[in-house]
This record gives sequence, structure tokens and C-alpha cells, in this order.
Amino acid sequence: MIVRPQAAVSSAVGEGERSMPFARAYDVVAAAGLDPEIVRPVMRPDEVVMDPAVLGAMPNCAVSFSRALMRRMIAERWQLTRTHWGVSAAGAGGAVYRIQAPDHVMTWAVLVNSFDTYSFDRERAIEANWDIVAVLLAGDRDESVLGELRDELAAGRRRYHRRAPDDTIILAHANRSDRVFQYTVDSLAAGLQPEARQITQAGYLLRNVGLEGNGFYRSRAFLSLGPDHPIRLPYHGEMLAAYMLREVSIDLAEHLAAAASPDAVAMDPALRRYLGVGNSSGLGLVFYALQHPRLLSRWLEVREVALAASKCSQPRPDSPEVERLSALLRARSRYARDDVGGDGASSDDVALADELRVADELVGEFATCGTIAGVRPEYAWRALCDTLAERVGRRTLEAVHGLLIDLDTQLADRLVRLTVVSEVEDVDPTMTCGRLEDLVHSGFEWALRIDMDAPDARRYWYYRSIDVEEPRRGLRADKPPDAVELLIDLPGEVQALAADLRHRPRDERVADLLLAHPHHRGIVARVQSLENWPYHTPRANVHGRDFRPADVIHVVKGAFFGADRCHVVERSLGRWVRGLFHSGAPTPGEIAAGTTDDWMYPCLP
Amino acid sequence: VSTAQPERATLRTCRLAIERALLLGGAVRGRVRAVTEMILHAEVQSGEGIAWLLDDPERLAASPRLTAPRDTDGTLVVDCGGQPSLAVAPELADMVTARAARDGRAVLVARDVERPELLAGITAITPRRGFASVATSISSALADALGGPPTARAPHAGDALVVAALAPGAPGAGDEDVASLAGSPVIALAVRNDLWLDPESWERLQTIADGALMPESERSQLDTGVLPPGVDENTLL
Repeated sequence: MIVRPQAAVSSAVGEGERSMPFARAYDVVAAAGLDPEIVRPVMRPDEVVMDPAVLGAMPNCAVSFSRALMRRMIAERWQLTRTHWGVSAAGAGGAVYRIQAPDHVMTWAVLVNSFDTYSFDRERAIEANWDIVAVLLAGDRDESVLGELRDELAAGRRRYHRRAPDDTIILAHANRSDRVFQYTVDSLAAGLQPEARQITQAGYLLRNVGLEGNGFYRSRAFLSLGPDHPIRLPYHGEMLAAYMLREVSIDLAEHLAAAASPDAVAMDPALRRYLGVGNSSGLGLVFYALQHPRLLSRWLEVREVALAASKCSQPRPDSPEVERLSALLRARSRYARDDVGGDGASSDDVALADELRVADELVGEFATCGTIAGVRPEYAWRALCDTLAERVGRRTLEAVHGLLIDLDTQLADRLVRLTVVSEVEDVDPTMTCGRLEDLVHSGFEWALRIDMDAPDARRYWYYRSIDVEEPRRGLRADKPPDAVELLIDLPGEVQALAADLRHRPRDERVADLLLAHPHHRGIVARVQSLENWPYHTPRANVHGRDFRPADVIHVVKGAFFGADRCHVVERSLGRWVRGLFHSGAPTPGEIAAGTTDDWMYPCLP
Repeated sequence: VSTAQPERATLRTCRLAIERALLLGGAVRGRVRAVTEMILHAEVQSGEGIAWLLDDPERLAASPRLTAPRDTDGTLVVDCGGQPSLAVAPELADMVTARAARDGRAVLVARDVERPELLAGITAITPRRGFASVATSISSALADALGGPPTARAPHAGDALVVAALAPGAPGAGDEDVASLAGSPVIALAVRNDLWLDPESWERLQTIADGALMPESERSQLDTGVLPPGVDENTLL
């Protein structure tokens, strides 16, 4: 397997041509301290990685942002302290937490509401009555910030017109689990620990619906935080907010239990660790994937580099990582099996659990005999993956890939630091049309092959609702004539550009092409700016009948952000995926003590 | 323009609102990002980008009608036909870039362009292409001397001079500093300090931008994929 884009594109640069500074990309493999000549040939090509079915099977791993953040918090022994608790016995009020990272302090301020009735869609952004509204702020703030937040909510502005307090980094909304929150409170109030099996039905006490920042609600742009800020890397702020929601959920449940009964007990630490934060994601992540091609590409490249590096390692049968991989496989298998009977559980989880045992047997064979499937391999993990590709399903294979990446968290840390990228797309007007045409064919051949004249090629259109800007996908036949389509028709635009390029002289400059066809500026900028970014776009026509949004939602939510136990919500037209963040993550006390990073795939308490 | 205290708005929300206003004004999708960038530059540099968009969104949204520049003794001269500077700026930036890449420097006279002083935004974009540049509005006499008289002149239009030169070592957008990551030093200012807008203008822009969103309806609710009991999933696929 050879990575194609870099070499092919570089060789296409004609004499006298120069690449614009904005279009240059550094070598991620070399930047991570690896040898490109060894690692690059093992990396999977974009036509494999960007297959939506493959993307939809990727689980989280050591380079997922939630995992990277947690490693950092543990390594740096962050201190999370509750500095104010003003919640009533009925469950209304506010709380403030102080987050001390090296050289930086942040504040987590939470408003807690108590409502007797809810509307039927408590997982979506449309809810008006939130149980929790919280902000993550830069700096040390006292409880007066709760008043600012309360006043703003009382002002009644529409969702994205709201004004979070100054220095807000993230604004979060969350609701209690209908299934297990009150059950947990009642159990603790009765002096009992809630049944773990019962808890697993949801896996969380609070379900987050939106962790938003980077300019929304007048929040700080992440770039403004400064290069040494602990949450400047992508999605570290959102994942920190998710972790703090978990802490609030437990504190709130314990508080309500204590208010209800003098016999109440605190939650068992094992159960406290086991809980995550629920999250549902919908079509917004399809928008996201198409609007952030460079970030998506860099993260997937980082993931593929980590996987290739693992495949290039040469463990001996008695190497510690062999035993480590076996332990991870067993834990992952058990974790999948524990999911059965839980939220969104399916026979897929049983199959995953069983197939991971197959992988573990092969690792056991290597540990015992030095062979994999009877053959003594030069590269054990490469042989393992090749063997599994013929024996297990895609989801299991991607799960094994994730575990192989988990073996080297130091490399993962180096790679995650490379995920700050410029998302500027600009035109290089000096490029020849001939070279642009080559770029179209090397980077977007898949889009050229899609039959956009087929009856259902543009079956759907994408828009947002005015109330809360919720992303939606409707039948194009129902689209009002003056409505604005908000999602790019990438295959259509690529094909239109390619058609016009066929009629231009190959030595003509792009500047002249755009004078004649100014409407191509956006797609030209995209094609040029994504040169050397191999994993930029899921290979799918998102407007077509056959596109399954859940695959793209899954890779962003599960693999990229790092949610666990991701399942497509039934009766959602494949447009909603549920998952859990931080299930198994250490408690604040354990983080402050510098516990180990070995917390994934927790056992049922 | 009101006399109220300026209101803080973030770059992200401003960009989103401008993009939507341009789409509603009839802009083809392929031009929205580039014209939005020019409007943002004008807003940060002189506080005049959004007001102009609000005055005449269709004009800023219109695709430019330009022909290749003529070469007058090494000076590029382009007749803009009275079109708005912010609408033609992307093409003018291309012209100076292409010439500077060939010769190491470029001089361009933009004739008959509305609000020529707002072409200053070009100077913030060329560094990421490897060029330093200056752009300034000039007198008709100087424009005549440099490029000859225009074929026509629209009322209120003027002329501008853009000069660019190779700047070896200019930062690329991949470099790890805010200006490079944001695409220009001007946009980096907005990243750090946000934009401070006339409250009425900001409110109007947001109201216009909301026109790109769809009102709620029963049918629209189904388009989320959250199906109430009794709705047949297969009929909606």
C-alpha cells in the first residue's frame, strides 16, 4: 500500500511553477519524529480510508481528542475544585468549579434548573427548558458569573444570538437522563448504590446537547487563547466541558439524595468512573465534515500515521506490548458485550465482542508460538491486520486498528499536537489550468465518477431551521424555490470545473480561468488548498439517495471527538448517533494524583 | 449609523452572517467565501464593509464582469466599469499575484472602481501568496498618467493603485502563528479582539442573514430524522 497524493502531485508541478505559501503542507510523519520512508508505504490510501463505510466503523483511539485531553490532564495533574455550591434541595441554583492546569486557570460555571415537565425531544437543540446551562471560562471567576449567565438567559434571545459572559470558551447545555437520573438519586437516598446494569441502560446521568464555542455566543476564538494554553488544541475545550458535565451530574445526584434523606450515601467511586456523559449528534456533523476538510484530513492522517507506525513495529513474542494488546482486546471485547441490553444495543455488539476474541487468539498464538495464523511474521501487527481483514467484519478490524494505536500514547501525544491547522482556502492564480486539471483528477477522481445526472443524485437538500439553526435534510422536491441550500454540492462543483477545464488551454493561468468563470473560485480554492491533504473528504454524494449520514456523523463523533458506545438511533433515518464521552475516565482526585492513563473500556462495577 | 456604543461580535458569527447575506443577495456559492473575506477586511480596517453590504447586498453579491488587464509599459490596467471594489478585489488580487510571480513585482491600476480605498484588503491577502503589497486610491490625473484615460466613468467611482512585490519567506497559512492560521494579519486582529460594530447595523445584518434559514413546520421537523410515533420511516427516505 503506497500513499499516492504527495508524490504524484509533486511530480506534476511544471517548470517555472511555484506553490503558494498557503498551500504548502509539512510532512506529518517526519514532524512526529518518524521515518517517512518506512511509515508512508504502510499507510492506507485515501480511497480506502475515506470510504464512508470505513469511516463509520472507526472507534475512538489514543489520538481522539477526548483521550488526548485526558492524558494531558493526568500527566499534568490538573486540579478540579468545586468552589461554590448553591443548589437547592429541589435541584435549582448554581455551582462554580475551578480548573487549575499548569500556568492557566479556568472556571466552570453551571446553572441548574429543575423542571417538572419536558417536551418530547430532549435530545435535540430545540429544547427551551434546560436542566443545565454551563460555561467554561478562561481565568479565575467567582459565583458572580452565574448572575451574568442567568440574566442573559432571562433576556430570551434566540439560541445563537445569546451572549455568553466575557472570556467564555465553551457554552454547554444538558438534560438529565429520563431513565436513570432519578433512579440514581432514589438509590443513593435509600443508602444503596444504583445497580450498574440499570445505569448501563443509559450510561450517563446527564446528556449533553451541544458543546459550542470558538466564536459562537460571543465566546473566545480558540486561536486567541495563545499557543501554550492547555485547551488550545482542537476540541480540547469541548471535551473538558464534557468531563465537567460528568462531575456536575454526579455532584447533583449526590446533593439531591442527601437533601432527600439523612441516610443517603455517596456514589461508589467505581460507578462514578464508569459513568460518562451522553451525547446525541445529528446532521450538524455532516455539515462539519464538509466545511472542515483540512482539519478532518489532518486528524485522519495523524490516525493513519499512528496505525502505520504500529504496523511497522517489530515486537517480539515476549514484548510487553504483546501482552498489553491482548489485555486491551479482552477489555474491549468485554466492554462491547456489556453494551448488550443497553442504549441502542444490537447484535453488532455481540459480533464485535466475539470477533475481538478471534483477534486475541491470534495475539495469543504470537505470544506463545511466535506465529500469526501459522506464519512467522516480520511485522507482527501488520500480519495480524492482514489476517483479520479476511476473518472479521469492518467494525472489528477498525477496533483492532484503534487498539494498535493505543499501544503508543507518546507517539499519539506528538501527533495530536500537529492538529492545529489553517483552514484558509485560497486561490493560486499562477497555477496553470493543466496542473489544476491534474489536481482535480488526482484528488477528486471519486467525485468525477459519480453520476450527478442520475434521478436521485440530488434527492436531498440541506438547510437549517430558523429557531435554533438545527441542521436538516429535506427532499429537494419539497424545497421552496427561494430557499437557500447551505451545504456544498461538491461532486457537482468538481464536475462543472472539470468540464470547463477541458476547454481551456493547459498553459493558461488560473487567474484567467477565473476571469472567465468567476463562479468556480470556491471550488478552485478548495482543490488547490487540499493538495497534499490526502484524507479531506468522505467519498460520498451527500445529496444523493444512497448517502447514509450516520457514517460521517460516527467518524466525527466517535473517532475524532472520541465518544464511546456510538449507536445509530433507531427510527432516525440514519441521521442521529448516540454515544458516551469519558466513560471510565478517572475522577478529579485521581487526575490530581496523576493516576495511570489505563482507564478505557471499564468493567461494569 | 447610530451613535450607540459599538457592540462586540465575533469573527465567526460575522463571517456566517455575511456569507448568508451574500447568498440571499444572489451570490453564487463559489464567490461567497472570497467576497466575505474582502468585506471582513474592509470592516476591520475601516469599519465600512458591513455598512456597504447592508446598503446594497445584491451589488456586492454580483459576479464581477472584468476582462484581462491590458499592459501599458509594464503597468497592468483594468477597467472595472464602476463595479464595487469589494466585489472585484479577488480578481484584482489574482492579477497582481500572477504578474508579480512572473516578474517579481507588479503594478496595477484599477480604473473606475467604486470605493477604491477599500481595496486595501488586498494587501492583507497577498502575504500568504508570498508577496508584499500596497493598495491606495489615487487621483484621476495620476491614473491617466499611469494607464491612460478610462473608457467610461461611473458616478462616484475612482481609481486605485496596487503594487506588489515578491516577499521571500512570507508566512504561509500553515505556519503556527495566528496571522498565518487565520489567513491574514487583519483577520488575526479580529481573532484576538473580535469586531466592534454599530449595534443597529449588526442587528440588521443578523436579521437579513436569518432569511437563509427555514421557518419551522411539521414537515421540517421530520427532516431532522426525529420521527414521532406513527410516521413511516420508509416513506421519508
